[in-house]
This record gives sequence, C-alpha cells and structure tokens, in this order.
Amino acid sequence: MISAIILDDEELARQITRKYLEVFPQIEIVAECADGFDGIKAIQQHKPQLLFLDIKMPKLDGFEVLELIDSKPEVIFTTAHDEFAIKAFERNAVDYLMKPFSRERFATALNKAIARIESNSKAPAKIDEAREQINTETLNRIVIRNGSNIKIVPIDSVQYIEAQDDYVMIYTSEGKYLKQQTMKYYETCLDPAYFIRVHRSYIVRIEQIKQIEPYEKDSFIVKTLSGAKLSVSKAGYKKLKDVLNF
Amino acid sequence: MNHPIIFKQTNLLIYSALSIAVGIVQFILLHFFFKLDLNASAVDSIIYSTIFSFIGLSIWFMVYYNDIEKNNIWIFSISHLFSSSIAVAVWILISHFLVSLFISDNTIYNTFLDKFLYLRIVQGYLGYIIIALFYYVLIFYQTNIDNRQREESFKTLLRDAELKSLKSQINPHFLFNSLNSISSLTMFDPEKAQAMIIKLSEYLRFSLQFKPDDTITFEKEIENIQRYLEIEKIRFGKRLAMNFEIEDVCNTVFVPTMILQPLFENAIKYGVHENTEETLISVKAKKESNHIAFTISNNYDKESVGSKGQGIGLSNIKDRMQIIYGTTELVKIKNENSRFTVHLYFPQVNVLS
Repeated sequence: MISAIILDDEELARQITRKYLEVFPQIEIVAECADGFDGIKAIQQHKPQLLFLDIKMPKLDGFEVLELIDSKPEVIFTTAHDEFAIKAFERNAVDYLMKPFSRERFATALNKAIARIESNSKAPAKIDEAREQINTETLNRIVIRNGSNIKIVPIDSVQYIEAQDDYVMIYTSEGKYLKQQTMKYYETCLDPAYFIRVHRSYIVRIEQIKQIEPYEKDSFIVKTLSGAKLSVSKAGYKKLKDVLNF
Repeated sequence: MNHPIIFKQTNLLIYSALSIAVGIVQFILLHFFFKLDLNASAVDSIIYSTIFSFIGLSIWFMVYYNDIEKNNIWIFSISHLFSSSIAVAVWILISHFLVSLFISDNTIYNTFLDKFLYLRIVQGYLGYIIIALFYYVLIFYQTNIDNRQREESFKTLLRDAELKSLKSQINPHFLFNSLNSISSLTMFDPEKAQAMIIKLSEYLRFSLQFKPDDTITFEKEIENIQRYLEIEKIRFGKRLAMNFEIEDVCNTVFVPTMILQPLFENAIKYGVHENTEETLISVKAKKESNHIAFTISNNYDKESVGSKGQGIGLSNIKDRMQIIYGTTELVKIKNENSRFTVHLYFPQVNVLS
C-alpha cells in the first residue's frame, strides 16, 4: 500500500483526483486537506509517500508547504497555472498536471510516482539543492514552522537577516525567527531595491540603515534603526556606496 | 499637395478676380499717369496681366519643390533668383511680342516701353515675390492642419489601444479551474455540469463580444457579474457568499463594459482564494445627485494576504475611468479591518454616446 494525501482547496478538484484513484487499489488516501496549514499537519502526522499538491491555496501555497514539512513525499502537482512548472521540477516533482487533466494523463503521472516509490530511488536532486537554484522571482513573505506553529512573515516586516551555520535568523519588527535556508537564497530572492548583503553573515533592509561608521582599521559597521550593529565587509561597503550614493 | 488654385474653383475665381483687378489698376496707371491712349493702355494691361497670371500659376511648382526646410538657404535663394529672373524675362518677352501684334506704330507707347522697362522688371520681381510668399503661407497653413489632424487621429488610436489593453481579459486560470470543476461534475452530477457549461458559455459570449469603447446598461453589467460569481460559487461552495443591494434607478445608467469585472476578480483572488472561511462579497449601487455610487467590499484573511497588495489590477480600472470620464476622482479605495472596499462613481449617462 502506498499512502497518499490530496491537498487542494477546491472540493470538486479533490473529488476528481479521488475518483481517478479508485482504479488504483494500491493507493490509500490517508487525508484530504483544503489549505496549507491543515496540509502540513496531516503530512507531519501521516508521513505519506505520495502527495497530490495544488499550488494556489489559502494560507500557504504548495511550495511553502513543501518547504515546511520534514518528510519528503513524492509530489504530483495539480494546478491550473502553467507558470510554476519549472519551479515544480526544480523541487523534484514527479509530474505536473495541468487542470483539467484526463484519466490517462493522471494514470501516467501516478505510474511514474509508483515506480519511484517502489524502486525507492529518490532522484538525486534534493529540495535543499533546488533552493540554491537561481530564482528570479522576488519573495513576498517567508514561512516559518516552529514545531506545530506556522508563522507567515511578510517581507515588509523583515529588518535584517543573519547567517547561523545551516540556518538563518530573520529579525523582524515582531521578533526573530530561525529558518533552515541559505544566505545565498535570500540574496537572490529578496528585492535588491530594498535589501542589500553587506557581509557574508548579514543582509539588511536598506531603509533600516541608520548609520555607517568606521570600526577598527579598514572596516565598517552598519547601525540599524532597531539598534543592531552589523559588520560590513569590503565588498559590502562598496555595495553600500553604490546604493546609497556617498 | 495639389495646386491650390487650379484645382479649387473658389480659389481660381479669386485668383482671376485679383488678376483682373491688377490689370485694371495697370490700365488706370498707364492711361492717367503715363498718359498713354486708351487703346495702348487697354492692350498693354490686358496682355501683361493675363500672361503674368499664367506665370503666377506656375510659380507654385517652384515653391512646392523648393522647400526651405530641406534645402539650405543658399540653394533656396539662388534657385528662386534664377527662376524669378526667367519668369520675369519670359513674361516680358511673350507680352511684348503679343502686344506688338496689336500695336506697332504707336511712338508714344514705344518710347514709354523703352523708358520704363526697369519698372516693368521691378513689377515682375515684386509680383513673383508676392505670389511665392502667398504659396508658402498656404503650404505652411495646410501642413499645420494636416499635422493637427494626424495628431488627433494618433491620439484616438492611442486611446483605443490603451482601452484595448486595459479591458479586462478573461483570466485563463478562472477558465481552466472552471473547466476542471466541470470535468469533475460530469462524473458526479452531470446536470450541474451542464448548468455550469451553460453559465460559462454565457459569460464567455458576453466577455468576448464587447469592444473596449462600448458602454452597456448597469443592469447588463451586473447580470454578467452575477454569472461570473455563480460559476465561482460552484467552485468554491460555501467559501463564497454574496449580497447585492441595487436601486432600480441604477439599472438604466450606461457604464463602460466589463469595468466591474476586475473588482470581482480581485475579491475572488484576495478574498476567497486566500480564505478557508466564508468570504462575503457585498455590492451596493445607489443614485447620488448626478451619479451612480457603486460599492464592492469583501473581507479577507489578513494573515494570508497581508495588509497590502490588493491594489494590483485596480490601477487598470482607474486608468480606464480616467480615459473615459477624464477625471481621477471616480475611484476610491478603502482597506481597513480586514475589509477591502472600492467605490466607483459613474456619471449618469442614460443615452448611448
């Protein structure tokens, strides 16, 4: 038996997936969810092998759900949007079904998933690697999971980001949040009109910069409006000069 | 540009009249000032002014092909000097020859000719200059009119293009998601599937037929919105609720076609899509002095949407309202307490423009 979860905010859309699955007795639907929060809860609980995932959903979108779960099920995306296909395959999706899809098309996707699960061969690309991919879209929000608690942080409230080994600490007006992600990711995905990487360990919101002052010989620090002091590298200082025109 | 005198009857008449007037003045001068006899004065003035009026017509081509903006000032001046000299020479030689056919042994006239040849030459150059200037003014005037017309038609084109790009196009995701719902319904509830196909067809027919400049009664516009919402209602079930309060007087007012559509798409996108609970879209329309006040508002999940980002798509409506009614005051947006509200004010127009 292969356990599966259907995650789609539209009842009629879940219904058709359920219907198509009827002829595959080896698939057991362990949960159906209508939004990202419920989806994460169910995935954490059931650790399904297969996930049917819509992209546009309330609370969290499909990619954010994948970012927040600990287990790594095989994923078949089901969506009416064609613009996320590349991103989906970067996340190592089994297939990408465009709504409305036929029974035959669905069967092809499912057979691929079954083959992957049975051979137990995770394709080499991991989500972590996908995170490193050059990504041209700019982030609007960051999702953070702390135990069973999910926090959506709007980018507008982010003051600066600090590297902490494999994690980053995101400092916002409401508090700080730890997230497993790379600095490189945020450097490429945050809007360069608002954020600047001043140091290997720091990305800071440009509006937050209150003062730049010399610190020891040949080095500088940025003082933020919230009172933090962040080191500035040589390259960072040059970038600051370009952006702030001094 | 055609010859402005030959091809326009009124201009030709005026030109002929002026030529005759010049001839009469010349006759008077010859007879009373230079004391020539009646016969000589008449023959001279008729022949010289007639020939000059023909030459005057041909000056047009010199002017038309000697554009001061294209040629440099030297070429311009030299070519005019050259052509005016030829014109004057031709004029005097032909006239002189013709006159000599009628008058041969008039000594007073012949003496006059010899003595005042220089005056005739001056007259010829002056005439050339006056006529050439007249043509230049005419060309300048005509180019101006042409430019203005071209500018007008360009503006109209631009406006059409803008409206075309502003018209709310059918959202492909709406279409594909609806088709997916239909696909699902065909298996579980064929009758509902059929009903949805019919609604979707009606909606598509309406949306595809309108031209960007069209206006439509408010009633028809709302009918189409209701079709759209009914389709979305099938998709979203109890997550979507709506409430319409529309005064009857509003129904006959003409509004730009599909102007409301993007507002409802926004309400679905930011309200229903992002909310697992019920999203209520309430719509009000009432008459206020000389306009219709339309209001749409919806609640949304602040946690999911954030407090901004609802302005996307609205700028299109603002632009369109501004292009059509010429003012930016007709769109008001309010966003507070997880409720997003847009007010539109339609100036009351009860007849198709």
